[in-house]
Amino acid sequence: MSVGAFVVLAILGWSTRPGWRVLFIVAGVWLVGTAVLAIWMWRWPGIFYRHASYRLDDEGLEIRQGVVWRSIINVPRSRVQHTDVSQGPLERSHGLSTLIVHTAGTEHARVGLAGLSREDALSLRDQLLPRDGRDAV
Amino acid sequence: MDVMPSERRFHPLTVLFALGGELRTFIAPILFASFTARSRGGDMQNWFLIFMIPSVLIAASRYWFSTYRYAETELVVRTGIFFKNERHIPYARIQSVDAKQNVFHRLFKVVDVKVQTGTGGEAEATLSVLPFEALEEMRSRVFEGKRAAGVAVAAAEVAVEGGPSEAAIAPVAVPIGETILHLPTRETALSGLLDNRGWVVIGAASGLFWESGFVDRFESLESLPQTSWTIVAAIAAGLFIVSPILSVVWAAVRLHGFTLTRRGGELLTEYGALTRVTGTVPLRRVQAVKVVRSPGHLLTGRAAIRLETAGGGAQGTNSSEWVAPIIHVDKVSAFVTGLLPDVNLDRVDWQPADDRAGQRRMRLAVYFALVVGAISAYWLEWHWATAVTAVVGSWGVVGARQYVRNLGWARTEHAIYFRSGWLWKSVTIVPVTKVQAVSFQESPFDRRWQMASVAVDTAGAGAHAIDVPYLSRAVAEELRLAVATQAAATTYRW
Repeated sequence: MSVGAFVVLAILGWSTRPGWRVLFIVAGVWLVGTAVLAIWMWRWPGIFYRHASYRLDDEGLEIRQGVVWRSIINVPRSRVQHTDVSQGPLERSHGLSTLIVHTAGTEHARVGLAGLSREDALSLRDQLLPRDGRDAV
Repeated sequence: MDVMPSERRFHPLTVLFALGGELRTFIAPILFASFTARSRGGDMQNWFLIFMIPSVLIAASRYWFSTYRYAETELVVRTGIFFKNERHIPYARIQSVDAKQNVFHRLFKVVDVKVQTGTGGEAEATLSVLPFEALEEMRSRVFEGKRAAGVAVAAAEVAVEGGPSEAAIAPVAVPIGETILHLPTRETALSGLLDNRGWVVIGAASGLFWESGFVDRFESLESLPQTSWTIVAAIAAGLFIVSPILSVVWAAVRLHGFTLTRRGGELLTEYGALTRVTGTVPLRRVQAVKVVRSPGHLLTGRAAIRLETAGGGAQGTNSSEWVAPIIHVDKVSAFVTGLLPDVNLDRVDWQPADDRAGQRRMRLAVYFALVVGAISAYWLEWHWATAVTAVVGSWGVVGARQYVRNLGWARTEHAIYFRSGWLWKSVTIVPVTKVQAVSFQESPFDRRWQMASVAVDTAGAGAHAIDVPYLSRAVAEELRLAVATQAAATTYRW
């Protein structure tokens, strides 16, 4: 409806004054941009989700993320300094949690794993806690 | 303040040095004020005095309310007037007692002492200033204390690490240590020449010169051709004569008598003609060893070696220590083996990047040259633009070949190696025990070429961390898994 009105107005405006022309071009670009952005925001989480995964084994935690720029991060168990399970208001309303693994590193001093269910995040955290109670420090 | 018999005060000159430190933060506003005051003819002197009152009070209280004492197993430092703070630092936890002396310290035979423990970041206690003898006393007291508590500590450490290198931690008496590197003035001066830091001073000076409005006076002359030649000559003289001389002198003074000694599990550095610096690096804190060679180093057959160390606990407390500001290239391998016994740089089985890396890099160089050419065509005649494109392109192609030829990585049971660079070469060695995380990255461009890069994260990354680009996908995947497995099999100790 609004698009139709816009097209009609655009054609009318185009033929009248040059000042209007600029306005309509700007408005048109904005409209198309917004539409693309909206579709993108609607579709992106799904795409991102399909490309994100994690794995916990005896060696440690492996996180795969990224659609265009892909990365795989391995944090060995013995390098986990401590872990956080955090929950923002939005996450809380959906029963989700983010697990944050802290290492002594620099680039990967905080390795985050978002979009876990609360139970999963807590169980992951418990599994990442030092098993043998041997503290190196 | 009442002082316990065993408590010691700092040196009375603490007041003077603290005042100096306080005033240093005011120096910029004071200079600014005095400049502006002159034009207004105001009574700025009085304002200075008002400014100085709190500084004097702070400085005096620093002396009056700071004490330290040697308890049986710990060093106790008390500071503060209203918020009193008593800090207990167990001898066993003290990593280093570092000292710094500038010209004034030396004049009055006092010293600035920093006591460091494992937490990194700020020193655990800064005792500024103490009489020089107090430093010696503190060192031997701490050493004695460490030994008393330390036998057990060292034994535990050996048990965890299982390596023989840690056994040397508890020697019987204060050992003298062996000198690993001593730089004569010739070498320190050469390192100054190669670093050429003088241009920073030249740059700052010319900036000041410009800002001062001195140049404006010549504005009327600027149309004359000889003025511009004078300026060019001045710039050239600054860059090629003054700057190297400044750099050489500065390095020779700053690094004067550079000595690196090894004492048990620690490296001690000592250097400086005016400001005497002594520092300590516990070897087990070393996260990475980096060998750096600039074009100047390559020409003169030298290299420089840096250590990345990490404080415990908090993040962002990593530091970088030049343990060899300059070293003969033949001695590099033995030197590195001295720091990391399991590493032999002469016998590294370097693995190249992917075969197509050169091609990929060259293509990038050509695209870059075309873009630069297209942009330059906006200002230049077409044949000049073509020349620019050709020069940039051929440089890029040569650079790409050389870059890829020098790219390499290696992995042994004990360490991960990475080398890169063409004119500026760097080699980074990370012991497996210091690996914190491994990551595999694949950009869209990588994906097109079926390539990826692998990065190794440590607690002391700094410049030139291990990040191997242009690996074929399979190799990268294998490397990631191998390093992750290796790291998982070891324990990290701060």
